[in-house]
Amino acid sequence: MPANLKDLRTRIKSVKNTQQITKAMKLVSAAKFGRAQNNVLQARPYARALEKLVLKLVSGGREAEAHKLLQSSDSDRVLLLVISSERGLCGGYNSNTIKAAIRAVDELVTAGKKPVVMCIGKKAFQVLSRRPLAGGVKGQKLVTLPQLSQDPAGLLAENEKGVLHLGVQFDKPNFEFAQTVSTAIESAFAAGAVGEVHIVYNQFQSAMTQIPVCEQLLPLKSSVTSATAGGESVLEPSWSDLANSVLPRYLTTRFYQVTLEAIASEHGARMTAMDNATRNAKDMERRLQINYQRARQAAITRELIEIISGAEAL
Amino acid sequence: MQTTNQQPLHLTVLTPTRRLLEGVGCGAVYFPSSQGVLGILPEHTDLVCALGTGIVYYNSGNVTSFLTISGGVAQVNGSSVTLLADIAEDAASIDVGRAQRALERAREMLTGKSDPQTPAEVHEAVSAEARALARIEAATLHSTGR
Repeated sequence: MPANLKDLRTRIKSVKNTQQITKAMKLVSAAKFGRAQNNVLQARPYARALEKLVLKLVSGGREAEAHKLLQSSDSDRVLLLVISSERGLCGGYNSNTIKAAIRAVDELVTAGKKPVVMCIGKKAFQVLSRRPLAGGVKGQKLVTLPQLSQDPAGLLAENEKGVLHLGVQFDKPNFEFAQTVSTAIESAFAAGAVGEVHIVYNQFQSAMTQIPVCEQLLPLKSSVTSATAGGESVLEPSWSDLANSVLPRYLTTRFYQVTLEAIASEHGARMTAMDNATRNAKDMERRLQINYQRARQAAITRELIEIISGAEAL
Repeated sequence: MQTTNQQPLHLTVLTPTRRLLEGVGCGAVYFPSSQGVLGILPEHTDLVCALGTGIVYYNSGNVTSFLTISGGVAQVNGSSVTLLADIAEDAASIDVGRAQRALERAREMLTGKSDPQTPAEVHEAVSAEARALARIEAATLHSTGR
Protein backbone atom coordinates (compact mmCIF):
# COMPACT_ATOMS: atom_id res chain seq x y z
CA MET A 1 0.00 0.00 0.00
CA PRO A 2 1.46 3.26 -1.06
CA ALA A 3 0.08 5.39 1.78
CA ASN A 4 2.73 7.40 3.49
CA LEU A 5 4.04 6.50 6.89
CA LYS A 6 2.74 9.48 8.78
CA ASP A 7 -0.85 8.94 7.58
CA LEU A 8 -0.71 5.33 8.67
CA ARG A 9 0.64 6.25 12.07
CA THR A 10 -2.22 8.72 12.72
CA ARG A 11 -4.72 6.19 11.49
CA ILE A 12 -3.44 3.53 13.87
CA LYS A 13 -3.53 5.95 16.74
CA SER A 14 -7.12 6.95 16.06
CA VAL A 15 -8.26 3.34 15.78
CA LYS A 16 -6.54 2.65 19.09
CA ASN A 17 -8.38 5.55 20.70
CA THR A 18 -11.72 4.35 19.40
CA GLN A 19 -10.97 0.90 20.71
CA GLN A 20 -10.22 2.34 24.12
CA ILE A 21 -13.56 4.16 24.19
CA THR A 22 -15.60 1.17 23.09
CA LYS A 23 -13.81 -0.97 25.62
CA ALA A 24 -14.63 1.47 28.41
CA MET A 25 -18.26 1.64 27.28
CA LYS A 26 -18.42 -2.11 27.27
CA LEU A 27 -17.15 -2.29 30.83
CA VAL A 28 -19.62 0.35 31.99
CA SER A 29 -22.58 -1.40 30.41
CA ALA A 30 -21.37 -4.75 31.70
CA ALA A 31 -21.59 -3.38 35.23
CA LYS A 32 -24.97 -1.79 34.59
CA PHE A 33 -26.17 -4.92 32.87
CA GLY A 34 -25.32 -7.04 35.90
CA ARG A 35 -27.34 -4.76 38.12
CA ALA A 36 -30.27 -4.61 35.68
CA GLN A 37 -30.32 -8.36 35.29
CA ASN A 38 -30.33 -8.77 39.05
CA ASN A 39 -33.26 -6.35 39.26
CA VAL A 40 -35.22 -8.39 36.75
CA LEU A 41 -34.56 -11.59 38.62
CA GLN A 42 -35.42 -10.07 41.99
CA ALA A 43 -38.70 -8.68 40.72
CA ARG A 44 -39.80 -11.85 38.94
CA PRO A 45 -41.11 -13.89 41.92
CA TYR A 46 -43.39 -11.06 43.00
CA ALA A 47 -44.75 -10.63 39.50
CA ARG A 48 -45.34 -14.36 39.16
CA ALA A 49 -47.06 -14.68 42.54
CA LEU A 50 -49.25 -11.68 41.84
CA GLU A 51 -50.20 -13.05 38.45
CA LYS A 52 -51.23 -16.34 40.05
CA LEU A 53 -53.28 -14.46 42.59
CA VAL A 54 -55.00 -12.40 39.91
CA LEU A 55 -55.80 -15.57 38.00
CA LYS A 56 -57.36 -17.05 41.08
CA LEU A 57 -59.27 -13.93 41.91
CA VAL A 58 -60.63 -13.45 38.42
CA SER A 59 -61.54 -17.05 37.72
CA GLY A 60 -63.06 -17.74 41.12
CA GLY A 61 -65.05 -14.54 41.38
CA ARG A 62 -68.65 -14.73 40.29
CA GLU A 63 -68.59 -11.06 39.51
CA ALA A 64 -65.60 -11.59 37.23
CA GLU A 65 -65.45 -9.25 34.27
CA ALA A 66 -67.18 -6.71 36.44
CA HIS A 67 -64.08 -4.67 37.14
CA LYS A 68 -63.38 -1.74 34.89
CA LEU A 69 -59.83 -2.86 34.12
CA LEU A 70 -61.12 -6.15 32.73
CA GLN A 71 -63.76 -4.73 30.46
CA SER A 72 -62.97 -3.44 27.04
CA SER A 73 -64.41 -0.04 26.37
CA ASP A 74 -65.88 1.03 23.06
CA SER A 75 -63.32 3.73 22.29
CA ASP A 76 -61.35 2.87 19.16
CA ARG A 77 -58.28 4.77 20.34
CA VAL A 78 -55.36 2.60 21.27
CA LEU A 79 -52.51 3.92 23.37
CA LEU A 80 -49.25 2.41 22.21
CA LEU A 81 -46.39 2.73 24.65
CA VAL A 82 -42.97 2.37 23.07
CA ILE A 83 -39.99 1.88 25.32
CA SER A 84 -36.64 2.66 23.76
CA SER A 85 -33.40 4.01 25.15
CA GLU A 86 -32.22 7.55 25.75
CA ARG A 87 -28.81 6.91 24.24
CA GLY A 88 -27.58 5.27 21.09
CA LEU A 89 -24.62 2.99 20.45
CA CYS A 90 -26.48 -0.12 21.42
CA GLY A 91 -26.60 -2.12 18.21
CA GLY A 92 -30.00 -2.98 16.81
CA TYR A 93 -31.80 -2.33 20.07
CA ASN A 94 -33.57 0.88 19.13
CA SER A 95 -34.14 0.12 15.46
CA ASN A 96 -35.70 -3.22 16.38
CA THR A 97 -38.02 -1.52 18.85
CA ILE A 98 -38.99 1.11 16.30
CA LYS A 99 -39.61 -1.49 13.62
CA ALA A 100 -41.84 -3.42 16.00
CA ALA A 101 -43.67 -0.22 16.92
CA ILE A 102 -44.30 0.68 13.28
CA ARG A 103 -45.56 -2.83 12.60
CA ALA A 104 -47.88 -2.57 15.60
CA VAL A 105 -49.20 0.79 14.41
CA ASP A 106 -49.86 -0.60 10.92
CA GLU A 107 -51.66 -3.59 12.36
CA LEU A 108 -53.84 -1.40 14.53
CA VAL A 109 -54.69 0.85 11.60
CA THR A 110 -55.69 -2.16 9.48
CA ALA A 111 -57.87 -3.34 12.34
CA GLY A 112 -59.66 -0.01 12.19
CA LYS A 113 -58.23 1.43 15.39
CA LYS A 114 -56.67 4.79 15.99
CA PRO A 115 -53.28 4.33 17.54
CA VAL A 116 -51.79 7.04 19.73
CA VAL A 117 -48.10 6.62 20.31
CA MET A 118 -46.44 7.46 23.59
CA CYS A 119 -42.68 7.08 23.66
CA ILE A 120 -40.59 6.49 26.70
CA GLY A 121 -37.01 7.18 25.76
CA LYS A 122 -36.12 9.72 23.12
CA LYS A 123 -34.66 7.41 20.46
CA ALA A 124 -38.03 6.05 19.38
CA PHE A 125 -39.57 9.50 19.67
CA GLN A 126 -37.03 10.99 17.28
CA VAL A 127 -37.96 8.50 14.58
CA LEU A 128 -41.67 8.05 15.23
CA SER A 129 -42.39 11.76 15.50
CA ARG A 130 -41.28 12.16 11.90
CA ARG A 131 -43.73 9.60 10.57
CA PRO A 132 -47.30 10.44 9.72
CA LEU A 133 -49.42 8.50 12.17
CA ALA A 134 -53.15 8.21 12.29
CA GLY A 135 -55.05 8.68 15.50
CA GLY A 136 -52.97 11.22 17.32
CA VAL A 137 -54.54 14.63 17.55
CA LYS A 138 -52.68 17.48 19.09
CA GLY A 139 -53.86 18.84 22.38
CA GLN A 140 -56.30 16.11 23.24
CA LYS A 141 -54.66 15.42 26.59
CA LEU A 142 -55.41 11.74 26.65
CA VAL A 143 -53.00 11.02 29.41
CA THR A 144 -52.11 13.45 32.11
CA LEU A 145 -49.22 12.91 34.42
CA PRO A 146 -48.55 14.66 37.68
CA GLN A 147 -45.14 16.26 37.78
CA LEU A 148 -42.71 13.62 38.93
CA SER A 149 -41.43 14.98 42.19
CA GLN A 150 -38.00 13.40 42.35
CA ASP A 151 -37.22 13.92 38.71
CA PRO A 152 -37.56 17.45 37.37
CA ALA A 153 -36.84 16.22 33.85
CA GLY A 154 -39.93 14.04 33.89
CA LEU A 155 -42.20 15.79 31.45
CA LEU A 156 -44.89 14.69 29.11
CA ALA A 157 -44.38 16.48 25.83
CA GLU A 158 -46.38 16.31 22.66
CA ASN A 159 -45.39 17.15 19.13
CA GLU A 160 -47.60 18.57 16.39
CA LYS A 161 -48.55 15.12 15.14
CA GLY A 162 -49.84 14.11 18.52
CA VAL A 163 -47.00 11.75 19.36
CA LEU A 164 -46.43 11.83 23.07
CA HIS A 165 -43.03 11.71 24.65
CA LEU A 166 -42.35 10.96 28.24
CA GLY A 167 -38.94 12.41 28.90
CA VAL A 168 -37.50 10.56 31.82
CA GLN A 169 -34.10 9.21 32.44
CA PHE A 170 -35.03 5.88 33.77
CA ASP A 171 -31.63 4.29 33.89
CA LYS A 172 -32.31 3.39 37.46
CA PRO A 173 -35.85 2.10 37.44
CA ASN A 174 -37.92 2.83 40.47
CA PHE A 175 -41.26 1.52 41.47
CA GLU A 176 -42.65 5.00 42.08
CA PHE A 177 -42.09 5.90 38.44
CA ALA A 178 -43.90 2.76 37.32
CA GLN A 179 -46.68 3.59 39.71
CA THR A 180 -47.07 7.15 38.44
CA VAL A 181 -47.22 6.09 34.82
CA SER A 182 -49.51 3.14 35.37
CA THR A 183 -51.90 5.25 37.45
CA ALA A 184 -52.04 7.80 34.64
CA ILE A 185 -52.69 5.10 32.06
CA GLU A 186 -55.27 3.48 34.26
CA SER A 187 -57.22 6.67 34.74
CA ALA A 188 -57.13 7.42 31.01
CA PHE A 189 -58.47 3.94 30.39
CA ALA A 190 -61.10 4.15 33.09
CA ALA A 191 -62.31 7.49 31.74
CA GLY A 192 -62.80 5.88 28.34
CA ALA A 193 -60.26 8.11 26.59
CA VAL A 194 -58.48 5.03 25.25
CA GLY A 195 -59.97 1.64 24.52
CA GLU A 196 -56.84 -0.43 24.72
CA VAL A 197 -53.27 -0.01 25.87
CA HIS A 198 -50.46 -1.87 24.18
CA ILE A 199 -46.78 -1.77 24.95
CA VAL A 200 -43.79 -2.32 22.67
CA TYR A 201 -40.49 -3.20 24.32
CA ASN A 202 -37.53 -5.52 24.07
CA GLN A 203 -38.09 -8.66 26.04
CA PHE A 204 -34.99 -9.66 27.88
CA GLN A 205 -33.65 -13.09 27.02
CA SER A 206 -29.92 -12.85 27.54
CA ALA A 207 -27.10 -10.42 26.91
CA MET A 208 -27.00 -11.56 23.29
CA THR A 209 -30.68 -11.79 22.47
CA GLN A 210 -33.50 -9.35 23.02
CA ILE A 211 -36.85 -9.93 21.39
CA PRO A 212 -38.95 -6.90 20.49
CA VAL A 213 -42.54 -7.70 21.42
CA CYS A 214 -45.89 -5.98 21.48
CA GLU A 215 -48.13 -6.88 24.38
CA GLN A 216 -51.57 -5.84 25.44
CA LEU A 217 -51.56 -4.13 28.80
CA LEU A 218 -55.20 -3.12 29.12
CA PRO A 219 -57.88 -4.40 29.26
CA LEU A 220 -56.16 -7.08 31.29
CA LYS A 221 -55.67 -10.07 29.07
CA SER A 222 -58.56 -12.31 28.26
CA SER A 223 -56.25 -15.28 28.78
CA VAL A 224 -56.26 -14.29 32.41
CA THR A 225 -60.01 -14.63 32.61
CA SER A 226 -60.24 -18.02 30.95
CA ALA A 227 -57.96 -19.82 33.38
CA THR A 228 -59.13 -22.73 35.46
CA ALA A 229 -60.34 -22.13 38.97
CA GLY A 230 -58.40 -23.81 41.74
CA GLY A 231 -61.09 -24.08 44.39
CA GLU A 232 -62.82 -21.30 46.20
CA SER A 233 -60.90 -19.10 48.59
CA VAL A 234 -62.20 -17.00 51.38
CA LEU A 235 -61.97 -13.41 50.25
CA GLU A 236 -61.54 -10.63 52.69
CA PRO A 237 -62.84 -7.92 52.34
CA SER A 238 -65.21 -8.34 49.38
CA TRP A 239 -64.32 -9.36 45.84
CA SER A 240 -64.69 -5.86 44.49
CA ASP A 241 -62.56 -4.32 47.26
CA LEU A 242 -59.85 -6.86 46.63
CA ALA A 243 -60.07 -6.41 42.88
CA ASN A 244 -59.80 -2.66 43.37
CA SER A 245 -56.55 -3.07 45.26
CA VAL A 246 -55.09 -6.01 43.37
CA LEU A 247 -55.78 -5.19 39.73
CA PRO A 248 -54.14 -1.73 39.67
CA ARG A 249 -51.22 -3.30 41.51
CA TYR A 250 -51.04 -5.98 38.89
CA LEU A 251 -50.97 -3.35 36.16
CA THR A 252 -48.20 -1.46 37.94
CA THR A 253 -46.21 -4.63 38.40
CA ARG A 254 -46.59 -5.57 34.74
CA PHE A 255 -45.39 -2.13 33.71
CA TYR A 256 -42.54 -2.20 36.21
CA GLN A 257 -41.46 -5.61 34.97
CA VAL A 258 -41.55 -4.32 31.41
CA THR A 259 -39.34 -1.33 32.24
CA LEU A 260 -36.88 -3.57 34.05
CA GLU A 261 -36.70 -5.92 31.10
CA ALA A 262 -36.28 -3.05 28.67
CA ILE A 263 -33.40 -1.64 30.68
CA ALA A 264 -31.69 -4.99 31.01
CA SER A 265 -32.11 -5.49 27.27
CA GLU A 266 -30.62 -2.10 26.53
CA HIS A 267 -27.51 -2.70 28.57
CA GLY A 268 -27.21 -6.20 27.21
CA ALA A 269 -27.48 -4.92 23.66
CA ARG A 270 -24.96 -2.16 24.30
CA MET A 271 -22.54 -4.56 25.91
CA THR A 272 -22.68 -6.90 22.92
CA ALA A 273 -22.44 -4.05 20.43
CA MET A 274 -19.44 -2.54 22.18
CA ASP A 275 -17.76 -5.92 22.44
CA ASN A 276 -18.13 -6.32 18.67
CA ALA A 277 -16.84 -2.81 18.11
CA THR A 278 -13.78 -3.47 20.26
CA ARG A 279 -13.05 -6.66 18.38
CA ASN A 280 -13.45 -4.95 14.99
CA ALA A 281 -11.14 -2.16 16.09
CA LYS A 282 -8.55 -4.71 17.14
CA ASP A 283 -8.72 -6.43 13.74
CA MET A 284 -8.43 -3.12 11.95
CA GLU A 285 -5.49 -2.07 14.06
CA ARG A 286 -3.65 -5.28 13.25
CA ARG A 287 -4.22 -4.86 9.54
CA LEU A 288 -3.06 -1.25 9.63
CA GLN A 289 -0.03 -2.25 11.66
CA ILE A 290 1.01 -4.78 8.99
CA ASN A 291 0.55 -2.17 6.27
CA TYR A 292 2.63 0.25 8.28
CA GLN A 293 5.47 -2.24 8.73
CA ARG A 294 5.42 -3.09 5.02
CA ALA A 295 5.52 0.55 4.04
CA ARG A 296 8.36 1.20 6.46
CA GLN A 297 10.34 -1.78 5.15
CA ALA A 298 9.71 -0.68 1.57
CA ALA A 299 10.99 2.81 2.36
CA ILE A 300 14.17 1.41 3.94
CA THR A 301 14.77 -0.90 1.01
CA ARG A 302 14.27 1.92 -1.45
CA GLU A 303 16.72 4.11 0.40
CA LEU A 304 19.30 1.32 0.49
CA ILE A 305 18.92 0.74 -3.24
CA GLU A 306 19.42 4.42 -3.86
CA ILE A 307 22.56 4.50 -1.74
CA ILE A 308 23.98 1.34 -3.36
CA SER A 309 23.24 2.44 -6.90
CA GLY A 310 24.69 5.84 -6.08
CA ALA A 311 27.89 4.18 -4.81
CA GLU A 312 28.12 1.95 -7.91
CA ALA A 313 27.82 4.95 -10.20
CA LEU A 314 30.97 6.43 -8.74
CA MET B 1 -42.16 -34.39 52.56
CA GLN B 2 -42.84 -32.45 55.75
CA THR B 3 -44.80 -34.10 58.49
CA THR B 4 -47.24 -32.15 60.61
CA ASN B 5 -44.95 -31.96 63.61
CA GLN B 6 -42.25 -30.42 61.45
CA GLN B 7 -42.78 -26.92 60.10
CA PRO B 8 -46.22 -27.12 58.57
CA LEU B 9 -46.45 -23.64 57.04
CA HIS B 10 -44.27 -22.07 54.42
CA LEU B 11 -43.99 -18.32 54.49
CA THR B 12 -42.98 -16.30 51.44
CA VAL B 13 -42.64 -12.54 51.63
CA LEU B 14 -42.14 -10.68 48.36
CA THR B 15 -42.00 -7.03 47.44
CA PRO B 16 -41.98 -5.61 43.91
CA THR B 17 -38.24 -5.06 44.08
CA ARG B 18 -36.95 -8.02 46.01
CA ARG B 19 -37.70 -11.23 47.82
CA LEU B 20 -37.39 -11.17 51.56
CA LEU B 21 -38.33 -14.71 52.49
CA GLU B 22 -39.00 -17.66 50.31
CA GLY B 23 -40.67 -20.78 51.65
CA VAL B 24 -39.43 -20.37 55.21
CA GLY B 25 -40.92 -23.13 57.35
CA CYS B 26 -42.83 -21.95 60.39
CA GLY B 27 -45.51 -23.06 62.82
CA ALA B 28 -47.69 -20.00 62.80
CA VAL B 29 -47.86 -16.65 61.03
CA TYR B 30 -49.53 -13.49 62.23
CA PHE B 31 -49.91 -10.59 59.86
CA PRO B 32 -51.92 -7.38 59.71
CA SER B 33 -54.75 -7.53 57.21
CA SER B 34 -56.69 -4.43 56.28
CA GLN B 35 -59.30 -5.54 58.82
CA GLY B 36 -56.98 -6.33 61.72
CA VAL B 37 -54.35 -8.86 62.68
CA LEU B 38 -54.87 -12.34 61.28
CA GLY B 39 -53.29 -15.47 62.69
CA ILE B 40 -52.64 -18.31 60.30
CA LEU B 41 -52.21 -21.75 61.80
CA PRO B 42 -51.75 -24.99 59.87
CA GLU B 43 -54.81 -26.32 58.03
CA HIS B 44 -56.13 -22.81 57.49
CA THR B 45 -58.69 -22.51 54.76
CA ASP B 46 -57.62 -20.90 51.48
CA LEU B 47 -57.76 -17.16 51.80
CA VAL B 48 -57.01 -14.02 49.86
CA CYS B 49 -56.98 -10.76 51.76
CA ALA B 50 -55.69 -7.22 51.61
CA LEU B 51 -52.76 -6.29 53.84
CA GLY B 52 -52.59 -3.35 56.19
CA THR B 53 -49.60 -1.80 57.90
CA GLY B 54 -47.97 -3.50 60.84
CA ILE B 55 -45.81 -6.32 62.07
CA VAL B 56 -45.58 -9.86 60.81
CA TYR B 57 -44.66 -12.51 63.41
CA TYR B 58 -43.67 -15.98 62.49
CA ASN B 59 -42.14 -18.64 64.65
CA SER B 60 -39.97 -21.39 63.36
CA GLY B 61 -38.88 -23.78 66.07
CA ASN B 62 -38.86 -21.71 69.23
CA VAL B 63 -37.54 -18.57 67.60
CA THR B 64 -39.97 -15.79 66.77
CA SER B 65 -38.98 -13.41 63.99
CA PHE B 66 -40.43 -10.08 63.01
CA LEU B 67 -40.97 -8.12 59.83
CA THR B 68 -42.79 -4.94 59.09
CA ILE B 69 -45.00 -4.70 56.07
CA SER B 70 -47.26 -2.13 54.53
CA GLY B 71 -49.91 -2.53 51.87
CA GLY B 72 -50.41 -5.32 49.40
CA VAL B 73 -52.20 -8.64 49.38
CA ALA B 74 -51.83 -11.97 51.14
CA GLN B 75 -52.69 -15.39 49.90
CA VAL B 76 -53.03 -18.60 51.91
CA ASN B 77 -53.05 -21.63 49.70
CA GLY B 78 -52.83 -24.99 51.41
CA SER B 79 -49.66 -24.88 53.48
CA SER B 80 -48.13 -21.88 51.76
CA VAL B 81 -48.60 -18.34 53.01
CA THR B 82 -47.59 -15.68 50.50
CA LEU B 83 -47.43 -12.03 51.43
CA LEU B 84 -47.15 -9.68 48.47
CA ALA B 85 -46.34 -6.46 50.28
CA ASP B 86 -45.71 -3.02 48.84
CA ILE B 87 -43.06 -2.43 51.48
CA ALA B 88 -41.45 -5.04 53.69
CA GLU B 89 -38.48 -4.83 56.00
CA ASP B 90 -36.71 -7.34 58.18
CA ALA B 91 -36.71 -6.24 61.82
CA ALA B 92 -32.95 -6.79 62.03
CA SER B 93 -32.27 -4.24 59.31
CA ILE B 94 -34.46 -1.44 60.65
CA ASP B 95 -32.77 1.86 61.38
CA VAL B 96 -34.53 3.00 64.54
CA GLY B 97 -33.20 6.54 64.32
CA ARG B 98 -34.58 6.96 60.84
CA ALA B 99 -37.94 5.53 61.85
CA GLN B 100 -38.02 7.92 64.81
CA ARG B 101 -37.35 10.88 62.57
CA ALA B 102 -40.04 9.70 60.11
CA LEU B 103 -42.46 9.47 63.01
CA GLU B 104 -41.69 13.00 64.12
CA ARG B 105 -42.12 14.29 60.58
CA ALA B 106 -45.46 12.55 60.20
CA ARG B 107 -46.71 13.85 63.56
CA GLU B 108 -45.61 17.35 62.64
CA MET B 109 -47.65 17.09 59.46
CA LEU B 110 -50.67 15.89 61.41
CA THR B 111 -50.56 18.49 64.15
CA GLY B 112 -50.90 20.99 61.37
CA LYS B 113 -47.81 23.12 61.65
CA SER B 114 -48.01 23.63 57.94
CA ASP B 115 -50.84 25.03 55.84
CA PRO B 116 -54.24 23.38 55.49
CA GLN B 117 -53.69 20.00 53.96
CA THR B 118 -55.44 18.06 51.27
CA PRO B 119 -57.10 14.78 52.26
CA ALA B 120 -54.43 12.92 50.28
CA GLU B 121 -51.68 14.57 52.31
CA VAL B 122 -53.42 13.75 55.58
CA HIS B 123 -53.86 10.17 54.45
CA GLU B 124 -50.20 10.00 53.50
CA ALA B 125 -49.15 11.39 56.88
CA VAL B 126 -51.38 8.94 58.77
CA SER B 127 -49.99 5.96 56.91
CA ALA B 128 -46.43 7.28 57.32
CA GLU B 129 -47.04 7.48 61.05
CA ALA B 130 -48.38 3.92 61.11
CA ARG B 131 -45.37 2.68 59.16
CA ALA B 132 -42.93 4.44 61.46
CA LEU B 133 -44.66 3.08 64.57
CA ALA B 134 -44.60 -0.44 63.16
CA ARG B 135 -40.91 -0.16 62.36
CA ILE B 136 -40.02 1.10 65.82
CA GLU B 137 -42.07 -1.60 67.51
CA ALA B 138 -40.60 -4.35 65.33
CA ALA B 139 -37.08 -3.14 66.07
CA THR B 140 -37.79 -3.11 69.80
CA LEU B 141 -39.27 -6.59 69.66
CA HIS B 142 -36.29 -7.80 67.71
CA SER B 143 -33.71 -6.33 70.09
CA THR B 144 -35.44 -7.63 73.22
CA GLY B 145 -35.68 -11.01 71.54
CA ARG B 146 -39.14 -11.53 73.03
